[in-house]
Amino acid sequence: MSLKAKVLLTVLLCNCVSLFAQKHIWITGFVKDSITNEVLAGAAVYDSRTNTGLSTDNQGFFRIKVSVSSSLIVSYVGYKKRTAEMLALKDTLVHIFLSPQNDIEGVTIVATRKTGFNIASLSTKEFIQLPTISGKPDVGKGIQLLPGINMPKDGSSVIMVRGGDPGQNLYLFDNVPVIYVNHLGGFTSVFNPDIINSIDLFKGGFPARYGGKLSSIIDITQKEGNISQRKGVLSLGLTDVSFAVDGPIKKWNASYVITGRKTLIDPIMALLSRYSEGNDFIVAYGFHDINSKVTWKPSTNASYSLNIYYGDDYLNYWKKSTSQQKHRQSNVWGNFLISAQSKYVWTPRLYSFTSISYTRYRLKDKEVYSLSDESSTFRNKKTSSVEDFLFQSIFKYDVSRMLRNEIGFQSSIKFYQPTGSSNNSSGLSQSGRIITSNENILFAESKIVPINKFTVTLGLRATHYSSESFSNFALEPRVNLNLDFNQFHTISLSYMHTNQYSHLVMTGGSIMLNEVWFPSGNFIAPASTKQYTLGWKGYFVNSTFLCELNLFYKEMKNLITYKEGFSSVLGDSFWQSKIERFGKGSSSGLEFLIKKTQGKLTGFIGYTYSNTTRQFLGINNGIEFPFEFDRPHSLSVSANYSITPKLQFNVLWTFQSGLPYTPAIGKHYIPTDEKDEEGNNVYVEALVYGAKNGARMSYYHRLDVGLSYETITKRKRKAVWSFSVFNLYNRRNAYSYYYNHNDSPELYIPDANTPTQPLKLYQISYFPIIPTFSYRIYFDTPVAKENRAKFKNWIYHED
Amino acid sequence: MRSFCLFSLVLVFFSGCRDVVEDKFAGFELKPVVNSILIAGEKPRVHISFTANVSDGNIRFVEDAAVVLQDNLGNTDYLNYVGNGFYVGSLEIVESSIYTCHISVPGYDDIVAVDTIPEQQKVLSLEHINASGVNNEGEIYPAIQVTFSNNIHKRLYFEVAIKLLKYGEISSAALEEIVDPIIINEGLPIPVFSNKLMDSETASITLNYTTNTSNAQAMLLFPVVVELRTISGSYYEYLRSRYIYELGRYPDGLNATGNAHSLYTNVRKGYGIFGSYSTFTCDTLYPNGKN
Repeated sequence: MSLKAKVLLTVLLCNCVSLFAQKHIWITGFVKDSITNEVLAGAAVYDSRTNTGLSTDNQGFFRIKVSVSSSLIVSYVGYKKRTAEMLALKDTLVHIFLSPQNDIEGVTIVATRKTGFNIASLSTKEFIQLPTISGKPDVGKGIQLLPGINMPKDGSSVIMVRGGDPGQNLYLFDNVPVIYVNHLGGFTSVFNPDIINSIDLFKGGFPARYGGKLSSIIDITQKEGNISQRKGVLSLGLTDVSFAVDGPIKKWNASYVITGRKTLIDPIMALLSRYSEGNDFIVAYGFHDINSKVTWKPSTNASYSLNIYYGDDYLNYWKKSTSQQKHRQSNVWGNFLISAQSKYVWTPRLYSFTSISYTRYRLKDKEVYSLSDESSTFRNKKTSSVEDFLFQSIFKYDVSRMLRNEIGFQSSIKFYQPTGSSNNSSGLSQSGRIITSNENILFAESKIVPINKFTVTLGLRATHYSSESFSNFALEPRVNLNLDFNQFHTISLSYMHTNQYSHLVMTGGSIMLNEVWFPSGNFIAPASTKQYTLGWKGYFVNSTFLCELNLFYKEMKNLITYKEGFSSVLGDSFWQSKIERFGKGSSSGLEFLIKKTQGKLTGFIGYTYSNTTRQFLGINNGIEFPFEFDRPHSLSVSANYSITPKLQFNVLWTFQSGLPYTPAIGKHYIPTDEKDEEGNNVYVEALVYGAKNGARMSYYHRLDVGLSYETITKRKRKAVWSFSVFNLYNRRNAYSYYYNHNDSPELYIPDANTPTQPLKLYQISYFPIIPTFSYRIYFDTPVAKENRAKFKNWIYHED
Repeated sequence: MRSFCLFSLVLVFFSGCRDVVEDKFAGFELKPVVNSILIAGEKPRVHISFTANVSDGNIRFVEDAAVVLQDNLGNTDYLNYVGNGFYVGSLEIVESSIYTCHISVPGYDDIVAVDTIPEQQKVLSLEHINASGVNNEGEIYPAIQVTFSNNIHKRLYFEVAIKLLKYGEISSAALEEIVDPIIINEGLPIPVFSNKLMDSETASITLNYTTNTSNAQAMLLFPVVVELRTISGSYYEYLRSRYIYELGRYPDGLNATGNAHSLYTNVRKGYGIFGSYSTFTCDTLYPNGKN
């Protein structure tokens, strides 16, 4: 070959290499609502040419490597699916806007929100359709319906994930931990549905960026304000009235959203108690919360936001016996949260998220009794609090399509004051020692695609924890293996190990003051868990149906609980003597979900079979026993039918095993302290109990129905009436069991004069058939107009 | 007040229902039940009965048992049946002695129970505080402060019985707001405690109590008799388990734990408690003066 020919060949080869190199480009971007500019977390983004795809994260962000001139298919629940031709020749940042389906053709949902394994997911659109006891959607009660998740008791919003305790769930509100998550003693959750964009609950296989709690991560993304117009909504329900306002701050290319809730029952209770015959006191319970978020987007690749949440429950009591004699008891408990966050797309391959936050949970039980002067005023106060300062920074970097990386750092300083108290009359004052803990975490995660259709995600989380003289270093490995048989069927295998350094003891059934948190230290060892899961996920009938099957096994170590007979340690400086430590737990089970997301009829069927146990040295003679809230069978059937675009019918049927209880197997005499006339101790009957939690209450089931109707008010405002009936067939579900004598179901305590009598087993049940309603009125333009210029360019490119 | 509030909510929104779930229960193997609290200086009394099914109306007494009590000094007492399940002996119970009780019930395995009578600890001083604090009903409550001897080399257990002479009758007083670190550490609102946290030969404890009778702003005060009992470890465990048992057996609405808790027993091959104590009774206190 001549020199000329060699040169020509070399040039040609170089060109070929160059052409080949340009064949693939990185598309990075956000998927958003075309009207509100709201990011769409969990939207499915697919390369039509390679059939490879992914879901946007909770910031609506995605990165995908595609061939030049290929098409991206983007879909999301309730939005029109779009196909976009990728005309760019180099790495590109895009903002993809999807049009809400119901603004164009009605309310039919046309796409599935695709999530990974071990994730229970609910979009706002999904959970607001569920009929609820309060007439308004509730995060906790919605999540409870999904496989692997249970409620502890009827009516509660508290969740238990795969056999975990309530204190083992990490609630992230825009990536910031929230400590206290319930209002009204667990009846409703603190998360106002008006500000929620999406909810993802990780039941296992946690990504490396998550940790610190054993059982679940509940990642709640808040909405961002509307950038095109000011909007508002006012909602009235059985328990509370709420509002939401959002809109643009056009001068700074920013937006805001503010929501708030306030109970209606406190003034009613105050009036009822004040004017009840014979009463000389006023008592009132209530809660309020307020959320606000300001988002500033100085450029297309940067976003900054400031979030504030403040919410409290309160129970107040006033009594004025005489003009000089007053008694006041004031109880308050709740959260305060403030955070500043930044999201920045450095290059199409590099994205970062940084936040700094402060969260405070505190409860106070304050009592003042005053006589004529200050010297005869008695004060009693009990407190408990946790403060959390957190800094975190996360970077996502894609080396290639086959290697995606995520690394980050989290540093948290917490100040615990579990049990403070003061009492001026006894002179006893225990200010409640503040225990400081520090947790530093470095994590890294790589998503590797060694061969086509096989993905390995390897994560490692290194945690260093210290509190006073105690310190602990731990490595928490995470492994996820995913095999895609084809575009529609995937199996997954995962393993995770995580530690928990913050421990909750909680008083069940108490409306107030029911959560006290303790840090790990020399007394309480860090709790830890290992979890193994195997899952399959498949889409059928053009993705109309999603099916999911998961098997899991979980072990937990160093759990704590109250010693038997104790239910509160508030204000107790000797709390150590009431805590049972070094508990073990295990849970295993099978979860099944089938979900229909298209057509007029949508809904899901979720089923879980599980077995959960606990073992504590000081309880049940150290023998393993069924977990207090173990429900082996749990089934939820939810359906939503669009009768017309403005009229929807919802139905929800729930069926669960009854909770375990400890049965009495016999009875015998025991001596009391009382003496009879001859000086003998008086004897009364007492029960002989069988195995702890060795029997089950009757099955739990109920049917809820709901109807929502959208209408236009005289002032051309959109309004929605929602009617629902909780427990339609008035099933008396057991709240608890107890033994009592024949003569009356009212609990009767025998005394010395009570002869022994036959006993019967009774159940107490609450929550009979309850009809409720709510009304929502929207204060935006009657028919929202889309930004036509933006709609035309629903996808646009910027370098 | 908290219960009131919670129940108001429940009543207003979700009135509760009670229903019979079961009134026939599986049979339960009958076993003898032996109960006895030996008191130093008194004659032994043992109560023997059978267990019963949950749905049984009566619990049968054992009337034909052979009951023998022996101490570690070789003394033996044969107890006689006196009716209503009681067997009575003739020997006086002595401090620091170990007693073993052998019970033979025809048709059942022999039962053995053992306990050591604790050495009496003396009350060194007793003070009554007429106004100790205010409860959440706005009533001023009284307290007693007991100072007593202690043996730091030995694990001791105590019970303080506060008896009120109310309108010619004797009644036991329950504790009010608990402020004493010893009782707080024990965790239960009963005047039963150990010397675990006591590090000197004398110890003191303050117990707020209620008389359950008040005028508009303060509890009415009555003559008080305070008894310091030095109790055996078995009896201590029994008293604690009985309190926890009752919490679960008779739950106080939604606030109580409602968890079933088995009673402590030290009776092998049977049920019941074989405990003991030595007692020191103080002179009557007159908070309002003797007149």
